[in-house]
Amino acid sequence: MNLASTWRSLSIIEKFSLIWFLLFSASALIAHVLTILGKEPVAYPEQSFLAPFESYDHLLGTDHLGRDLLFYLLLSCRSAWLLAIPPLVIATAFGILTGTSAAILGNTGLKISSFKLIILSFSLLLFFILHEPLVKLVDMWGKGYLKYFIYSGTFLLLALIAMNKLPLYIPLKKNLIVPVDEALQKIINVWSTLPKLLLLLVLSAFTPFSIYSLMGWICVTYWVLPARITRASVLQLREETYYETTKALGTPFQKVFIQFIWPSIKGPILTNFCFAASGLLGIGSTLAYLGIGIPPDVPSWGKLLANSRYSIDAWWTFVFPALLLLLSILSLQSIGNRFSSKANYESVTK
Amino acid sequence: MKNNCAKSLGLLFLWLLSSCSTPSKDDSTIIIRLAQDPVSLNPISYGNGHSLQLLNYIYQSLLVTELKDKSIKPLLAVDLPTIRRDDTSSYFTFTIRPEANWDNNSPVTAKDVAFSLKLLHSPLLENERWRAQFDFIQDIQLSPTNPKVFTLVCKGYTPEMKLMTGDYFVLPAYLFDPNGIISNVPFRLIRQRFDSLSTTTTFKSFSKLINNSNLARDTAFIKGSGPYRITKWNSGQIVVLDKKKSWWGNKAEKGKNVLNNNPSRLFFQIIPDNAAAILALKTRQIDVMDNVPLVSFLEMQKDLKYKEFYNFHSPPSYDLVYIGVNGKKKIFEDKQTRQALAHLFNTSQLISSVQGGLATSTVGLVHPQEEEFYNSELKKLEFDPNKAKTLLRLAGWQETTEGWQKTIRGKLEKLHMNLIYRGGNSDFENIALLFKQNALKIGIVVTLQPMESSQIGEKLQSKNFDLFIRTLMGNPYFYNFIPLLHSSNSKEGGGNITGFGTPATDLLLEQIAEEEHIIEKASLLKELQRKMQEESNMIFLYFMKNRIAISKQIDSVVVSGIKPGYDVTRFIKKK
Repeated sequence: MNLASTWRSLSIIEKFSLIWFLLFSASALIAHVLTILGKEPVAYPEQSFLAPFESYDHLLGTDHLGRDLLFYLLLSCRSAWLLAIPPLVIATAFGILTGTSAAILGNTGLKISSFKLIILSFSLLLFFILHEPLVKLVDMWGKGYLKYFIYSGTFLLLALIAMNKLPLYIPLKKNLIVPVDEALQKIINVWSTLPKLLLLLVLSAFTPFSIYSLMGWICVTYWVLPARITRASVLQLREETYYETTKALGTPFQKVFIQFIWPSIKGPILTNFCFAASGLLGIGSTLAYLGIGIPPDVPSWGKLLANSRYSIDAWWTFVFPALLLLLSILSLQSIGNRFSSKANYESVTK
Repeated sequence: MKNNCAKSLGLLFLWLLSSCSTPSKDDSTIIIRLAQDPVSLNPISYGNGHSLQLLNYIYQSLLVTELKDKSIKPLLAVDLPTIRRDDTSSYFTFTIRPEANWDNNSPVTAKDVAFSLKLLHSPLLENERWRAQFDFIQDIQLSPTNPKVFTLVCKGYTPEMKLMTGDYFVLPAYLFDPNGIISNVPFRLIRQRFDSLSTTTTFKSFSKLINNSNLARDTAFIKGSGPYRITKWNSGQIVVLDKKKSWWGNKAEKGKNVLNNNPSRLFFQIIPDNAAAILALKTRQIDVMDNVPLVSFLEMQKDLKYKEFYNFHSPPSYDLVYIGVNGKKKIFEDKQTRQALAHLFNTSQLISSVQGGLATSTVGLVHPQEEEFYNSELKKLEFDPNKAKTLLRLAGWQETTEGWQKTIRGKLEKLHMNLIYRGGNSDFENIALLFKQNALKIGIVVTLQPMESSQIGEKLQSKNFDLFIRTLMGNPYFYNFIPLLHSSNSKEGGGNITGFGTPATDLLLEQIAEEEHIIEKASLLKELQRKMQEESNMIFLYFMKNRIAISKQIDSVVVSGIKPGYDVTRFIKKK
């Protein structure tokens, strides 16, 4: 199906939703570029609470500090987008990886040699012991950027050991069986019982307020559902005869994944992505509203809504951010619904 | 049966819902908003200004200041002290009211005063601030004939002593020291042998008793001679004080105007978030709220809907909003760097816009309305980014593409700083945002860190901060700033948080504390203000005007600039 016919098959609401989401993403991109260039909403307290539609300078009026509302709302798109989309992409990818691994490997598929485990543990221990003095040392030299080399070097070394890429002499032949599926099930059971907002509130207390640390915490919180969906779909696929055939023919797993697994999980995963992203828009704004996780100088719709509580007269500080938030959430929900109804057509197991 | 169960559960649920943290609406219950949890109600080491407000309803001092006219009135004392002076000392003789008694009906005596003074000076207690403040009290002499009479022997004489000699809580010895551990240790000995006594078992066990969390939290232990007793305290939610039914103050014959307990219950609703507090005020869930956010205050004043239910007051207060700079930090060691930061605060803009004109600009920590002590000749460090740049260059900073840099003791340092303030305080947030904007214009990167007040306290005590915004609660009665500014108090845990102090300023502070004559004291205070501006460890922004909303149901309202700004014990709630 080409793009033109896909577009024609969309309802009016879906078309509007897609256009809105693209506009929202474009605004976020522009805002991100502006932020990188050091543009921030400038406060002129003498011009606080100017009403909207009265001058071209401040088309949507100003807030309590005299910041132009239109510009502030534009920059707020970046915060909303950054908290909803990138962490969710990473969390979904991680969820697919863990879900597929659990389903394919089961409880007996992953064996690791005891010796390698010892080497890995020892390397990790060494890293934690040496980490602080090393960081201090490079800071003392005034070469702070070397820290990233230390981190990435350690990670690479551990990955090479884990993947048997290093010519290690292995005296111990005993293998340990890792019950991947059971372990993942246990983690998912614990993680999914915790309310996401509460979890984010608790986790964000561990790190200084920053939009990037909050993105990290969202990744940590939101991988569970994609993992669960993927695991269920792949377990179902494993029972199919063509999967057995691909195994017998020795088809590489990457090809099996792209041709058989991905089409089946794409629908539910994308549906979940859209609904989770719309939820995250709300959660990001809630956190900003509560003044938690997002620094006070990062523009956010939630922060505007929080400040609007002080003034009833300045209705525009409430109406415009609320409208943007509402439309963005609804557009993602509508796109999610579309994916949900299309999912059955895409699945190879239908 | 099932149906009955469901009905019962439903009713239980409704009852739980209705009783969820709402006060029992007694006719004369006054509901007051508190911006912070009191944290601790230990009368020696209480948590914050709000704790002090509550403690004043539970414990009493010998003297009190009248909110109406700022005059000094006897409270536990039957009258103002009689004063006798000689060359080196002054003697203040007090008589405690004959009616004054504790909750167990035993009388408040001079022994309780002696016990309270011992507490203020004992080793191993968190009383450094008080030891410095009441250092002038050298001894207490009890009358052999009348247990309610005593004389305080003070070093020299200063006018502040008229209030200071009676401005501490008189605490019940029977409750705080039931076994009389320090009853036989003379007050003078505690003062003289402070260090050696700290190793004795007597004081070790006594400090254990006083530092016990019971004194800070347990409603069974927090009992004084005041008109109210604490009956409930849910951290971060509510504190309830109930009127004592047979309080001694109702039987007093003299000076009854300072002895009131009209409201039967004081219900303190803890709402840290300003906006949430405003919503509670607008829905008439609270009777009294101070420090109302400016925009809401101005809007509500104009709105007939709220004018019908609330009176709005804005008395000038002694609450001073200031910026603290950590002078012990390498990058702020040079006073010119600190002065540069002072030039980045646009105080006049803050007052006119953020404070809506309801604030008073100041050059130092003396209120401009205290004309004799205020240094009116001193020019304020005005907002001037170019001057700030010049000062930074003079301090050795170099402007580079990566911001300001300077080599300090062989290491390249950048002028990046964190500014901490209490989260939820919209005024502080506005100050922080505007400062960040001004600093960025000249290439200084400021990171804003809103925090819980307890976290801020920890950071300040451990000197782990760059800049902070805080309110200093002052008063017009005494100018002994030694606990706050003397360099001997700048060690970890001391009251001098910013590390202010030079030998010259230490000497000034000592002279101010001991100076008797108004004219000389005034000139010393003016010199201190000049020195403080020069050092700029504390950048003074403005004295706030307290914005108070009080329900029109309440009669006998007196508002004042003295903390907390109103006397709730006089309030009479109409039906």
